[in-house]
Order: sequence, then structure tokens, then C-alpha cells
Amino acid sequence: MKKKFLYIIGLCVSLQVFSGCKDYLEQAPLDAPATGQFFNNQTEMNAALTAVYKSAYWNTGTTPYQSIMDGWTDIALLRAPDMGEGNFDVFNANAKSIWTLAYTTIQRANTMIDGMEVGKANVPAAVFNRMQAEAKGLRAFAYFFLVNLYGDVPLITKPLLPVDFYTQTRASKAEVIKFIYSDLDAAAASLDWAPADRGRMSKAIVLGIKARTAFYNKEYKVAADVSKQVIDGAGLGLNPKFQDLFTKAGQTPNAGKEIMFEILYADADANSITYLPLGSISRTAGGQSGRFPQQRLVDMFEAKDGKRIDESKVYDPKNPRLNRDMRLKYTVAIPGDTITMNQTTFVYDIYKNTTSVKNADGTWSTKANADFDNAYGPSKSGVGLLHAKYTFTAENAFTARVNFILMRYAEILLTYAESKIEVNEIDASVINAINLVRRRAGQPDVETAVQADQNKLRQLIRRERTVELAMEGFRWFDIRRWDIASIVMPQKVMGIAKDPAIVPASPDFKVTAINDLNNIPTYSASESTRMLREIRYWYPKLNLLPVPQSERDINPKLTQNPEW
Amino acid sequence: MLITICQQYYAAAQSQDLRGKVTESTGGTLPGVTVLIKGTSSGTTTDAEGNYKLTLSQNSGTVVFSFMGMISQEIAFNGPGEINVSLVSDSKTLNELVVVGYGTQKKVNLTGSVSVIDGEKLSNRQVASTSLALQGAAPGVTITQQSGVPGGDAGTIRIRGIGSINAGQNPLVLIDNVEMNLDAIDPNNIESISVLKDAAAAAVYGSRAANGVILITTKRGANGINISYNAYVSDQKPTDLPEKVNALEHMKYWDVAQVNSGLPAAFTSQIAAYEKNGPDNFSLFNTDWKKLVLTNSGMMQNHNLNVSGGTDRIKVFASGSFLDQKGLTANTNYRRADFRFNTDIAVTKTLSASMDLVLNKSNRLWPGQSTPQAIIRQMLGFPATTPGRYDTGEWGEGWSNANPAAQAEDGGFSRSITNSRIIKGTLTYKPIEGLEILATYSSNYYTTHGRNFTDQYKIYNADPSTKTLVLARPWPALNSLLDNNAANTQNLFRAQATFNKAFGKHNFTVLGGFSTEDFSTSNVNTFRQNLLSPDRPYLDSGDPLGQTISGGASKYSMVSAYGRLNYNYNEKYLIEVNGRMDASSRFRQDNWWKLFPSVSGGWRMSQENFWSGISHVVNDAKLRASYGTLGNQNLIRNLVPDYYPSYSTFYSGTAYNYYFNNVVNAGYALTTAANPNIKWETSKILDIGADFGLLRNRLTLTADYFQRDINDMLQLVPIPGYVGLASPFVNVGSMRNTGWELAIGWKDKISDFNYQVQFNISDVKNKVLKNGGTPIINGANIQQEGYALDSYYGYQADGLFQTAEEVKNAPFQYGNTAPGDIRYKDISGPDGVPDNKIDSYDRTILGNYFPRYEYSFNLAVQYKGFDVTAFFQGVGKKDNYLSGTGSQPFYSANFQGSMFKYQEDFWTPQNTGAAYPRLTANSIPNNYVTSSYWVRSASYLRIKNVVLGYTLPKMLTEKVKIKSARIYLSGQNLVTWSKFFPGFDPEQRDTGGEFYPIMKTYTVGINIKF
Repeated sequence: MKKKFLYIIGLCVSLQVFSGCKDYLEQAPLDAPATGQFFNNQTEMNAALTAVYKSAYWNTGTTPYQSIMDGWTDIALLRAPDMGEGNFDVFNANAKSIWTLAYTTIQRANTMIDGMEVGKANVPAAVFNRMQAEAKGLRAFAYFFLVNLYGDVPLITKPLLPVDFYTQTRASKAEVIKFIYSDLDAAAASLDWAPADRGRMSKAIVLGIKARTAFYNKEYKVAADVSKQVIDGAGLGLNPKFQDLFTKAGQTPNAGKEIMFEILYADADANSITYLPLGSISRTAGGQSGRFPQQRLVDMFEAKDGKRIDESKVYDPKNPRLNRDMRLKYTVAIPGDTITMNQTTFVYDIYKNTTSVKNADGTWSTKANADFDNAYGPSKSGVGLLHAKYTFTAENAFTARVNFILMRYAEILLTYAESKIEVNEIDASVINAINLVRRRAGQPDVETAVQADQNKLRQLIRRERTVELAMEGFRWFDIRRWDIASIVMPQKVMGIAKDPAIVPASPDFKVTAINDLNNIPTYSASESTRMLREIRYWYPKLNLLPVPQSERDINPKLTQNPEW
Repeated sequence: MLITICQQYYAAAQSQDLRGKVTESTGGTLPGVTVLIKGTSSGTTTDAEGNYKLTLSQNSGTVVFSFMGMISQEIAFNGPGEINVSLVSDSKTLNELVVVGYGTQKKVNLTGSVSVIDGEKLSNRQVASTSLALQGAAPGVTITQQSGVPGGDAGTIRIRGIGSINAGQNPLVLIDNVEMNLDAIDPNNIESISVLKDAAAAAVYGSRAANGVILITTKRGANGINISYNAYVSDQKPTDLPEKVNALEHMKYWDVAQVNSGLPAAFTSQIAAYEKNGPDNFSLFNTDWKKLVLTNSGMMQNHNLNVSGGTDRIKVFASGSFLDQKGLTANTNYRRADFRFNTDIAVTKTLSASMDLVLNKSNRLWPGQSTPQAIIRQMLGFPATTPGRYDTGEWGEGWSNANPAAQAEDGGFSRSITNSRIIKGTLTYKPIEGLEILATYSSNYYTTHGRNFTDQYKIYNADPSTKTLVLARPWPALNSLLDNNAANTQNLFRAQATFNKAFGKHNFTVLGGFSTEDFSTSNVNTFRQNLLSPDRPYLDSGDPLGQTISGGASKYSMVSAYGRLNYNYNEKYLIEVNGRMDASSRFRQDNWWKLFPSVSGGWRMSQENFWSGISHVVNDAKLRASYGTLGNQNLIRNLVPDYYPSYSTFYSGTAYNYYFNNVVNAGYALTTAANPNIKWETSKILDIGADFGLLRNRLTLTADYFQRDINDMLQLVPIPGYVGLASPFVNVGSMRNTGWELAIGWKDKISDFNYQVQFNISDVKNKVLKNGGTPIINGANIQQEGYALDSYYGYQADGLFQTAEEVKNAPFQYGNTAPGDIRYKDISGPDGVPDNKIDSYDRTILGNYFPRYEYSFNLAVQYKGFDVTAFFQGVGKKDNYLSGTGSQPFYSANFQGSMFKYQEDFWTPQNTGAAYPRLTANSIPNNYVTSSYWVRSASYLRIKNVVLGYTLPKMLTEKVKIKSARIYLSGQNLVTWSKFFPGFDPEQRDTGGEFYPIMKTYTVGINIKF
């Protein structure tokens, strides 16, 4: 009995150890497909493509990166001085974060484009080509940011093998741009003008990215041609109401199909929310006001008569909200405005410790004004102004799902017009493009005298571009492209009147011809009467971000940008 | 054994004395021997010549002669007279058995490096996590505590330094040879602990043993009935917490920082209001966050009941323990129930069986919205100006809706419930003398159930115009519930044979065995939000909109064969050869198997003839040496085990989903790079040691030197961000730990006075030998050849700038560098020479966090019923880096920070000798990049443990049928001496201001035996 028992034990052991050994030891991932086991069919390819799209949402603090970048420029600021102050170094977290985000998109697109060949036979050719084109469009979009932020960057177009991890060097900006063009051309050939689903890449978007790439690279001829293709072929138009572009409710109908490319959120996913509105909303409305506009932005909006405020006859410095381009109201909130943020309607004020707040029954009460002297609010951390784009929402700001627009038709029109002006091919189509944008804002058409003058048109289009696209992530690139960063950046951050009883003098736009051309206000006459924030610095090296030091620590073959 | 008893009776009984002389069996007199009438307190000690004289209070009885290191003798007497006695040395210490890998060995015959800790010593320390009781208990065993949070206060255990980077650094913990969490066992159930430190000692555990092995033997049943009850109650308090400035100070300093950074002062009007009216906790706040947050009692209690009973055939040990540890914040506690049944059955004379059953349940409660660490960080960081709680009890807004006190109290709960059931059965068959065959199977099945309910608290704003509180909003916007379940099974099967045989003076032991081990885990994770009512925190009351569900499974397995050969000649020359073949499913087939051999030898010099001249002084002396290889494959990524490290997989989940047409589309993404070619990491360990017993083993001395080389390290070498993936594992580089250990003990007994003194000191020096190319820099740390792993890396601070002139003439740092900023040294540049610019080329090694010269000192005294223990523990050299909220005023990653009291000594033109740089608003990086300014010595000495016990006289206790009863008072972490930053415990490493403090505890307890 005993012996038999031991015999059985012995047998079990030997079976397990010897014959069963291979089965026992062979373990592969159970719940997730490993490399080489994926991309067999359309479902799997689509799942991989979905993750490429997700990676294109460059998130910082549940906020799209592109939406805060204007805070690093002369038209806005962040509560903590951040990049705009100009004193960051090669260890900067944003420089590292954007680099990593872009290359994550590139990796996922590369993995997808390369990997999907495996299952090519199992998918209809048109669908296969569309999915590949979408991935290429997203890859090009990531490179577009990289090349414009960092200059030369490693050009990675295939999944890297471990032996290649440390051998990459920076490809020249020109080479990367060439690659972006080739990706976008290939994508355009396989995509329809309209996206397959809302949120997907379309021919209009990829050509829009191409136009933007050429435009930022001052290849204005290319930019003009490509944006013209979009204008002529895509069947897009402007949304009738400017302000509807920036609310959840307004975006859904989007009558003119102006919105081309956007970061999407869905009600069905609890994590799919954005703090884009919350981070800028008034403290009285329960927001966290950490991002603010500068007075410079306010002063760049024309008066109702279509003229810059220093040239307008209807502009009233005592009441700067009167007779202005209607976009000002939907871009910047100025004390005295009655606004609705985070489901609260109130009179925005910073000068008194109470303000009027609308009750649920429609009556008004006087309530505590948290924007008055909260150290982190618009009066102490900002310069008296609040963002109005994306913040005038009927949503609960803590669960907002307003989509962030990465590209809209107005930009295509303005890019077209500016490109044509730069190559001096000014014709009716140029004026028409500008007028379309201005008319929607209720501004008069371009004056005849301006139409005939390339420099006057430059001045106008630069102003138009700034006010139309403010807080949408363009300014950082535009002040570099126009070569004015060295003028606009090393300035004190300027705000509204310190004391509401003392009206500050209006700024001077004509200190130099360059200031005038670029609509750069100067505040030397009113500095003492305005709210001020930090002094900012400028060094030529700031034209580009530094290659993150952590990358160079790992791969010393990566060179650094000049003077970093 | 020879015992000589001379007994002589004097006919003439003029005196009532018992007298005589006590000698040593080897000759010589014995002073200080205790002579006691058994069962009484009447006794004396021998004088310098070994003579004693005892006045009798009874006519007959037994006299007991006892002396440390000698076998006690009991002699009956009948009336006064002379009793001369010769005592022999206690050979028990010589025959003392030590638990070693898969067996026991006589301590004197050990050739490997093994430290033994007595279970009794562990239960002296009243700690929730058993690992903490090991702190300082054995040389070379480093326990570092990072947190004092209930359910998360376990220490990290490192044996002889750090043995790996990613392949696991924890030693293998085996409780009765079953792998188990050390902190799940009640110290009262521990009989003994053996720590296997070198290759020879740990070799039979092969691949699992590269970081050393902790073998725990639990108590087992014995003949007769024994019952004991042990209980204590403790009061816990933080060892230290940084003090924060008050509201007014906060605002004033903030404005100093603003102005220094070229920003306008922000608080001018509030400062005026505060100075005029003072805080009213309605519109002007001076919130004492500590008082609001630290509301829990910190009480801890533990109860343990052991019942042991047995006959010759069946022996049972049963134990039940219950621990309840409350935290400092509301909704923070940890409860553990531990049941153990150890049964031994002698089936026949040759066959025996044992069956052990362990049931263990732990229930950890943390607040639902935030971890206790995050709550404490907010508590430490939030400015006093932020609204906490109004006088009427409503919650204030805190910072951006985050109110740590509300989070703790009303933010729901996060429960983690672990249920584990271990069964183990062993059959042992001893067919012939010296041969033992055994088969053992154990199964550890445990489930973890995580229920995290995020509840909403109501935030109120004060409306000064109406002088009322207005409900601002419930926070967060929606309540939500995470309900996660995981089930895990670990099976272990082992069969082995041991054969013992002596041929004359040649003694052999051969051991051979094999084992299989597998582990599988599966989990389901669910989420719903917008629950109907916080009173029903279950999925069914949640909203299907926005719900998520996910699940998965993993498995790994190992197969091993092992063997050991011991040979000794006359217990004088000792040799041991070990080997183990291991295969791990973590590797691909080509790399499955690896052999890990070791060899060791010992020479007991004291057994040699030539030693006899000094044997009365040095009674035992042994030299030993060992060398061998151990493996490691226990890969960990992002703090979780990686069971498929050679694969790269496409992950799914909300992080990869996207929303075309407002519909959730599932996404799959590759997130890590793969390396299918990874293989075993190996450690080569050399150990040279010596053990001495002096003066009848009253003085013991153990010394070891070791060198531990880790080769083919499995590392997650950082890969450039442009790869877009997390690093794959690669076998690259090697590292060395060199060190020594010294343990000196003295124990003696003078009459009723017993005392023991133990001093341990050890040192480990870590050095990266090969790195496979360029240094690996990871934030503030670097892995560079020739330096300790993860050395601190940054700028070399050179004091503070005092004048603008100095700034101007110094190498360029930042555009806004000003007097009061830290000045950095220009060490190098792109061309390898200083370039008059402070940039990344000027970084250098700034130290490292490895503890050096760890020491401990234990003094234990027993006198009559009293016992006193004092335990000191310290680290002689260690660097520690403070960053983030810890070092930078007004900084925090996600809220507006305040300032600590210690930071008030900041630079101003009037305070040029300041300890800290000028205040600046939080974006300015100048002063807070990694630099030597924030790396400080964290060496410390601490009164780790003091116990004062009293055992009630037997006379009293026996009346109520109690064998013995002891009451005690004890304290943990009572006093700490350190020069680290004020308010920070030096033991907690790299503090960025987010930590749960280590506890100082005061305990009262009882031990009762029936």
C-alpha cells in the first residue's frame, strides 16, 4: 500500500517533469494579441487605427496641448509663467512631453502601416487603402508638429528594431517635410473629400495639413495651390455663427461643415471628458481660471468699422467692448460682460467683491465675486481678462465634452489668402476668401484701397488670422513665421485698467513699420495704469524647442538645436 | 559525558547552611554560579573561588546550580551539609540545529552564511507588518520603510544590497517552504527565521534565491496541551511631519516670491484684511489642515491565541490572530485575521504525514477619492488660506474642489480585501536509518477584491453679502464605483530524498529533489458611475452609460531539479556542493534551462589538537568560504510582475479607445518593445566568513566578507522617446555589491540577573561595473560605470549668489538668475571643458541612496520577573534627495503649494546667510533643478524599540491556573537623531512631499500561557 502510493507520486512527478515539461513551460500571453498575431482582418486593423487616432489627442492635464500653446505667446498667458516667460531649459517637461506624444502617434502609425500588410488579402482593397491612408495622414500630422517645433528630427517611417533604437540621427527639416508631403499625397489619393465617419481623416484634412505644412515652411506657392484644391473640391463652408463652433451644442449641427478635424469626446465613456473649458472658466462660475488672454489680443480686434482701434473713429477707449468685431465677445471676456460659464450666468467683474448672478428662476442676486481678489483668479494671476472661446458652454465644465478643433475651413481660407498675398498673386479669389471670414464676423469687406496694396493686405490678413484663430494653437508658429517673436515676446504682460476710474491710454501700433505691419501694440504710455504680469524674455534659440535632454542622454548622436 | 558529584554529610549540624564549591569539568573554579533552592527565591552565587554558602529555610529539597554556557544541575539535599559540584559545558549550542534550504543542519557545520532570528525576538516589536520586526535583527538584512500607511507599511527587504534592477530585488520568503507574503503572518506564530545570505546557503532555491532567502518556520504542536494568549494595544503617531506656515505668513511669503519673479504682489488686500480683522473661517481662512485631516486615532490592536496539543501520534498547533490597525486619517484602517492549523501525524514508525492549513484575510480600507498618501500630501501642501471646514461643519472648497479632509471623511471608500487559503500536505517516509523521502504539495489560492466607491462631498462657498453658506457643488460631478476581482493560484509540488550516512569519521548527507511550480491569475474589472444612492455602492445601482468592463489572465511556470552533497570529516573539515537546474516559462524555449552551482567549505579550527591551548578562551572557531551562482527571472515592470517579458502585446482599454460618430470604438495599441532573446540574469556570490565562540559561548562573533556580482542584468534600459514604446528587457551590464558584516553578542547571567548584548554592523557598497555603453540617465538618477546604481545626478551647488555682480560674472545659468539663487559649478561643456555656461554638461554624480554602515545595538536584561529590552538602529552613511513639494516653496504638481516652516530661512538682501534660496514663483527652475543643494545626508540613529516587561510571580498566577503571565510596555521609533531636512523622516527616500509618515508607537500588551 505504502509503496504503491509512493510509486504513484513518483510517476506523477516524472510525468510532470519530463514528458509534460514542454507543455508546462510554454507560456504565451493569454489575453492580448502579441506582435505577429495581429492585423489579420478588418476588425483588428480598425482597432489598431483607432489607437492611432487616440494618440493624436495630445493631452496635458486632460486638456489638448494645442489649446494651451497660445498661452506661451504674446496674446495669452498661463497662471504659472511657463514657456512664455522664455526661461525654460533643455529639461523642460513640455518639450519632452510633446516630443514623446508625437512619436507615439508615429510609432502606432508605423506599426499599423507596416503590420497591416499581413492581412491585406482579408480586407476589401478600398477599405484597406482608406485605413492605411488615415494612418499616413495622422503620421504626417505628428511630423508636422515635430518639424515646426524642433526643426530637424529623427525621421522614422517603419517600426524600429531594437538594434536601431540608439542609432537614429536627426533628419533635416527639408527631408522631413518632403516625407510629410509624400505621406499626405498618398493619403489624399485614397481618401474621399468627406470622412468615412465623423472624426476620421479625409482628403480635405490631409490636404489641409499639407497646406499648413507648406505655409509654415513659407512655401507659399504650394500652400496656395493645395488650399485652393480644398476650397474648390471639398464642398466646405463656414458655420453661420462663429460662436457655435466652440460649444458642444453648436458643433453638432455644424451647418456649413466648417469643422474639418477635431478631437472627439463621447458621452458613453466616463473618461472621455475635457478640462479645456474648466481650466479657463471664471472662479465665480466654479471654474479654475488658470489660462488668461492678454490685452494685446483684445487690442488686435478691429472696431466695427473694420479698422484697427488706433485708426477707428468708432472705438471708445472708455468702453472698449462697444463697436467691436463680434469675435472679441466670443474670444475674450472683459469685466462688465454678462456671460454664461459652467451653467452659471453672471456679470463678470474683477473690481468689486460681489457681482450679479442669475438664479435658477431667472431672477438675479448679488453674490460673492470669486474673481475679485482670488490670488489664482483673473485679477491676480491674470490681467483682468478671461477666455471666452470654448468657455461659454452650457455643459457642466467638470464633464465637458466639447470637441477641440484642430482644423476648420476658416483657416484654409486664411491660409489661401495669405499665401497668395505673399506670392503677390492678389486676385478676386483672395479678397473673397478674406471677405467670407470677415462677413461671418459681421466685419465690412476688405476696403478697395487695401486690396491694391500687398503690404496693407499683409497687415490685414495677419490681424484677421490672429483674431479668427486665437487660442486655437496657431500664434506660436505665426510669430516665428512672421519673424516677430523677438519683438512681441520680451515684453511685460499687459492687462486692463488697474483702476476702473482711470482709463489707460490706447496703445501705439506704429512705433516701427514692423510693429505697424504686424499690428503690435506698444503700451509705454499706459503701463502705470494697467494690470501687469511677468516680464518675458527672448533668446533666438527660442525659435525652436530644445531636443529633450533625456533623448540626448540616451542617444548622444542626437544633436541639439543652436544655443540650447 | 562525565559528571562527578561529591556529596558529604556532616554529622554535626552546628549550622543550617548548605555549602560547597563549584568547579568546571575541565578544572578551574567557577565564580558567579547561581545556586538556588528549587521552587523558592532563596539562593546565592558562588564567590571568586567558586565557594557558596546558603542558609536553608527548609530541611529538604533540591538545589539547582546554573551558569551560562553550562548544563544546569539539580541535586537533592536533606538538611544542611556540603555539596560540591562540577559543571560541564553546554553542548546544546554545539548541537543547535538551524533551518537551511529543504532541511536542517547543525549550526556548527554550516559552511554558508546564515543568520538565525529567534521568533521570540520578533514578537517583541509591535508592528503590523512582520517585515518591520526584522529591522536591524540580522547583519546584512536591510529593511527600509517608505510609508506608515495601514495596509501599506511593509518595509522593503534587501539582503546584502540590491541584487537586480528589474528582475526582482526582494528575497524569496518561504513560510514552511511555501512562498508567501511575509506580512501576512503574525509574528506570534513564528518559531524561527533563517536568513540565507550567500550562494551556498541559498543554492537549492536556485533561480528564486538571488536576493537571498528568508525561511520562516512556524510553530508546531508538541506533546501535552499548551495555550497562550498574546495581545497588545498601540497608539501610533507620526515620527515627524513638516510644519507649515500660517495663512498670513503664506500670503506674505507668496508676495515676496511674486515680486522676486517680476510679478505683482497678489495678496495685498487680503493681508490688510487679515491684519485688520483676523481670520474668521468664513471669508478669511487660517485652516489647520493637519487638525482637519488627522482625525483618526491611529490605534492598533492585535490578539493572538495559540493552542498546541499532541500525543506521540498526533500533534496539532492551531492559532488565530486578529490585527486592527487604524490610520491617521478617516476611513483608513487595516484588518487582518490569520488562522493556522499545523498537524503532524505519525502514520507508522516510518511514515509520517503533515497537513497545514492557513486561512488569511486582510481588509484594507482607504478613502475612496484619493490615496492616504495623496491626502497627506495635500494636507502638507495646501495653503492655510484655503477654506477647509466651516464652523458649522460644511466643507470648504480646498484647492480646486480638492479638500483632503472631505476626501478622507466623505469621499467614499477604497477597500481591498484579500482572502488566501493555503493548504500544504507532506508525506515523509523513512524506510531505513538515514534515508528520508518526502513529497509535498502546496496550493496557495487567493483572491483580491477591490471595491472603490468614489462618493461626492458637498462644497460650500461663503457669501459675505448674505453671510450665508451657499452650496457650490457636490464633488466630483458624479459618484462612481470600481469593482475589481482577481483570483490567483500558486501550486508547488516537490519531491526529494535525503540520505545521511557516516563511515567512521566521514559523514555524508546527500539530498536530491525536483519541483514544479505554477502560478495563474485572472481578473475582472468593472466600473459604473452616477449611482442612484451612495448607500448602495454596488454595480446594480450604477448607470449603464459610461460603464466599462475589462478582464484578463496570465500564467507562469517553473520546473527545477536540485541537489546537495554535504561531507564532513569528524565535524572538522566541512564541504558542501549544491546545484540546481531551473527552467522558467518567462523565457523562450532556447533560454529555458540554466544550471546554478555552488561550492562551500569550512574548517573548524577549534577541533584541531593544536587549539586545546586556547580552547578555554576560544571554545569554538570556524573559517568558511563559499562561491556560487544564482539566477533571477522574476521580472517586474511598472511595479507589477511581467509574466511574458519576451513578448510585446497590443493592449486594449479606454486609453486606446476613440469616438467616431460619438460611439466608443475599441482601440488596440502596442505599448512596449519586445526582446524575445532575454535569458537568465545571474549572480555570482563569494562569501568568506568566520564564527567564533568565546568564554563558553558567552561571547559570540560572526564576521563575513562578501562580493556579489550580478551579470547579464535584465534591465529596462531607457530607449529614446522617438521609439514611441516602453523599453524592452535586455540582458546588459553588471553590478557589484561588496560588503562585510560583523555580529558580536554577549550573554551572561549573574545570579538572577540575565543580560544579553548584541551588536551588528554591516556595510554594502554598490557599484555598476559594466553598463553596456553610455550612462543611463533617468531624471535625477544615473547608472554609470564605477558608481552606485541610480546615483543622484545633477548640478553641483556652490552656495547662493549674493550680488548682481556675482551673477553677472558667473557662468550663464538662466535669464532671470538673481542674487539669492543657487550658484552652480561650471564643470564641463560640449568640448569637455568648462564653457562659462551652466547646462546639461555640468551635471555630475551627487551621491546615492544606498545605506552604508548599518548598525544596530540590542540590550536585553532580565531580573527576577522584570525584562527590559532596548534596541537602537542606525545608518552611518546615506544620501537622500528632496524635491517637488518637499523642497520647493509654493510648488506642487497639481495644486498651489504653500511653504514649510523650515523654508522660512530663505535668502533676502537682509538675510544673506540664509539656508535656502530666495523665494520665487513656481515656474522659475533655477533653484530646483536636481542639484547637490537638495541632496543631504540621511544618516540616522534611532531608538527603534524599547520594551519593559514584568512577569507576574508564579505564586500568584498558579492560583488561577495560569502558567505564566507577562505584561509589558513598549515603544517603537521613539527617538530619531538625523541631520536630514526638518520634518522628514530620513528613512523615507526621495521625498517629493507625497508620503505617509512612518509611525512612532506606544504599546501596552500581555502574554499569558495556560
